[in-house]
Amino acid sequence: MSGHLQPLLKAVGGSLTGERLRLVRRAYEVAERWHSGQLRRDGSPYITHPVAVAVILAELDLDHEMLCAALLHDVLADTACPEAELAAEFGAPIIDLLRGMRMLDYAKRRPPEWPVSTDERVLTLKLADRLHNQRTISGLPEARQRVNSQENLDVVAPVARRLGLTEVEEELRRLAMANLSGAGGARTFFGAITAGAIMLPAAARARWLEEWLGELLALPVGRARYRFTFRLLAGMPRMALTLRGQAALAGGGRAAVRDRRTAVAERAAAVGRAATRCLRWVVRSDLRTWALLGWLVLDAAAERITDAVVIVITVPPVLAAAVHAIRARIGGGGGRG
Amino acid sequence: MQAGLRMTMPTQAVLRAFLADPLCERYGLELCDLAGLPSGTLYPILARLEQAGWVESRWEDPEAHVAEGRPRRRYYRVTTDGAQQAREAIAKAYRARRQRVPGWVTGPVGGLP
Repeated sequence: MSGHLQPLLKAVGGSLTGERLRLVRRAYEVAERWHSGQLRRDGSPYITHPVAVAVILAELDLDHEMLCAALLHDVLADTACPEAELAAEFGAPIIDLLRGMRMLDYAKRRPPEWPVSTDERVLTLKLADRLHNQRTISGLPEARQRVNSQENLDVVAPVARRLGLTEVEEELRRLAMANLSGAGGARTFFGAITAGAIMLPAAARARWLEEWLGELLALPVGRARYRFTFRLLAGMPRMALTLRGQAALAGGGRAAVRDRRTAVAERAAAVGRAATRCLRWVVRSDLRTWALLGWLVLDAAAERITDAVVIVITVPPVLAAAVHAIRARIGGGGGRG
Repeated sequence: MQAGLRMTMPTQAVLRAFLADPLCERYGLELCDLAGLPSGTLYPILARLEQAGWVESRWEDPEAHVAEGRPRRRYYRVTTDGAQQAREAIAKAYRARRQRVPGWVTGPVGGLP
């Protein structure tokens, strides 16, 4: 009967023992009994949802009370289970978590300042619940999908950030944006932009991606979206340089407190090594070298068309000679000719 | 910070778009149209201007975009200080450009006094 519990036991590993482990198993049995016969929208047994929520919390190394509350979190709202029965068996801390969760269930019942006023443990539980629902959102009708994804971006993800749960925040944003782009018929375009945005510093990525998603969906379907995406990708290296310059400035300020010179020298050395590796990778194939030239031209054309013309005329011979020399030095026998 | 801002033509175009109506908040696509720039050129410039404090940005209020059922927009506005500095920088760049042309080129033929 406890087949659906396996993922949780695996996530918990050896961290729970004795009475605590027994209580978690018991919470699962109670939840499984009350939810028996209920199905999720995708057709799987309902109990898989509370278990998945508990797995998310176990991966965050949270305690057995949180795991029990996760397993039982929909029992009070969706079944006829009397609250007193749970209170008698699981005790006050777990029941308080469940009551806190129920307060957040309906938009009308929760206070407007709930993201700040709610207890942090209840918020964490809610985050895990929202994350699993976002992961399995395809079962919902499209209009609901859009509303939920948008709410996760606007309200829920910032809560995750405030609580320091960056991985939860990141996944929630990524899934919600992917869902919204799909609903707007721009999944491919946004996928390409997301892939290109890997160049940007992680801290700034989500903000720009969300902004670009908004712009992309505001554009009419067709050529305009294609052009927006293509141009954005061509400008991405420049964007990355701009934003990384910003980060380096901020980092430079902090480093001054310690030892500025060493920090700068270390960073320069690291950048140098990365650049060498990158250069090697580029010159090993003709295709990549031509792509580099193409990007140089496009990027220059964006600023000033004459620069682009100058590059087209002057760079190819120099580039060919340089690539030849570099390949000779690194013993580039493995080149694609 | 100001020293780091190169007054390229696209940067000037963006600043002019802002200065046309300094109190108006604008979003990225709108600025692309106003400045006549592609997306990949506009956003790095916005990031630089914001970094220099010439421009500030904020997310759209939830009511507006939820009602329309689309993701929220990022709105940009030129700061008071930024507007002042932008005007000076554009004027300076304009003068520099005009001086570079020797007098005998524009003098007799061109209509520029």
